[in-house]
Amino acid sequence: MFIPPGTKRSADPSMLTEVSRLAATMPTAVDGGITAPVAAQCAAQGATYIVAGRSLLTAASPAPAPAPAPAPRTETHREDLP
Amino acid sequence: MTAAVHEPLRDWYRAYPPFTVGGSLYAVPPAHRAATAAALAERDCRVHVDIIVDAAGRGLGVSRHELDRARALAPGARIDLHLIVADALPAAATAEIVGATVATAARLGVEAVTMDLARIERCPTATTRSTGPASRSGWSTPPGRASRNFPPASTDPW
Repeated sequence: MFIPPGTKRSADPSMLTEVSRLAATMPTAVDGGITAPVAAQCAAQGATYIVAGRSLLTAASPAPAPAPAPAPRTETHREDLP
Repeated sequence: MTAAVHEPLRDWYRAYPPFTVGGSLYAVPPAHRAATAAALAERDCRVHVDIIVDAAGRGLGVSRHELDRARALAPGARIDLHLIVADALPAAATAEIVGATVATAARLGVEAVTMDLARIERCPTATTRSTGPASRSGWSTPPGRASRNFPPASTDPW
């Protein structure tokens, strides 16, 4: 785990050395805050299973909400009135 | 006018051999989880399922119902479960949840169940009956965590 389970932090890059150490002796999986660049680093260190959420699944990061509509003008702002 | 095609996965996974990358269903809203599992399976990605249980025994992660729907929609998916249990949950309750999770895993043909090694050691009744190899998929976790196959349990409170 690159972050505490169930949290949504960014991956802790210091864990990469752990991946390298483990992968030297056994199949190794990585999980938690894995982005595409971190995935590439993990694979380079020997990880054989890469779990990703927000960085992989588009449904996890829906398009930004549209900008809020301008507040309705009140009578005090109706300078366009005669 | 044509509708935009919605691609459920960002394409960086294509840089890796099939089944090297897994998508975590917990990252997507519950209504998208089954369809996401199917999309992952169609693209030769694994399906990772976080089961999160708080100190009161409540499920906060992917629910069993969502997992059932994911399996129904993606019968060939390579699914693995990650069981995350609150430290404060009593050992007996933890053991029961481990057993239920293992039973669900066996029922649904899940490849592996992963949980913190400390939790495994706290619930020996749920783990000492293990008879299989460490993991069918063979993947492992950093120190302090472990991946094991467990036998089915008789209770299923999850």
